[in-house]
Amino acid sequence: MSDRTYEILFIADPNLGEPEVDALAAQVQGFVEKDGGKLQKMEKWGKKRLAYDVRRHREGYYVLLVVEGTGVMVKEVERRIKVQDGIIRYLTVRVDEELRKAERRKAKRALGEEKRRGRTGSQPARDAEVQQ
Amino acid sequence: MNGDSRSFGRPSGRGGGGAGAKGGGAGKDAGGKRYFFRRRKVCKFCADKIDYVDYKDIKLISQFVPERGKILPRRMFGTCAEHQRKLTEAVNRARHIALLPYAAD
Repeated sequence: MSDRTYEILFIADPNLGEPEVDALAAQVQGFVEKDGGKLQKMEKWGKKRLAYDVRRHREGYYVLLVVEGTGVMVKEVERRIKVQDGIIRYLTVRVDEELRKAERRKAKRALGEEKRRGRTGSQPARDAEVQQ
Repeated sequence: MNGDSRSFGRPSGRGGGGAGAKGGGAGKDAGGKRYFFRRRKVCKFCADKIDYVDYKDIKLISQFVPERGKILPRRMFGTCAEHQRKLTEAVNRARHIALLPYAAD
């Protein structure tokens, strides 16, 4: 079975230092790779204010990992994240299907636009830049 | 323009206002003074061709969610059913990860 793409977004304890958060991120990356996953992208958003208190914290470090892997991997990674003290909240979302769908719609729309333009002569619409 | 943006067009009159005038164009005040012309709302996601509503894009989402964090009904912004559904999903995800409030105090 082909691998799926997931986004793992977690919030680290604001009392940690920057290097400790980096270590935590590397650790999560390690969890992913241990179970046959592949890291596509890592984004550190830095310290941000939370919209509400999470475990009595008002802020937190956001770290996003875009990851390729299987459902089994996600299960294991989440289990490991749960026992990490430095991580106060996490969210895993599967994105490959939705993104593929969006891609398809975009392609379809581009096709339709081309057709329309062909029929009604040249009509330089406002979004004429995505040609070729 | 885009094919699947036909589903709004029903600006239900709110409160004691008057029946919402359809966005046809002939909005003369022939009948009574209660009828007034209301611009027909267009789904912003359809207009901007946003296929994937990202929960991480709070800038976009927060345009549709008041500060208190409530998701408003479709009629307020004229989003089409499909995009309202996606928006709701995105808001709920953003709430979980504390990017948006569940309920502000």
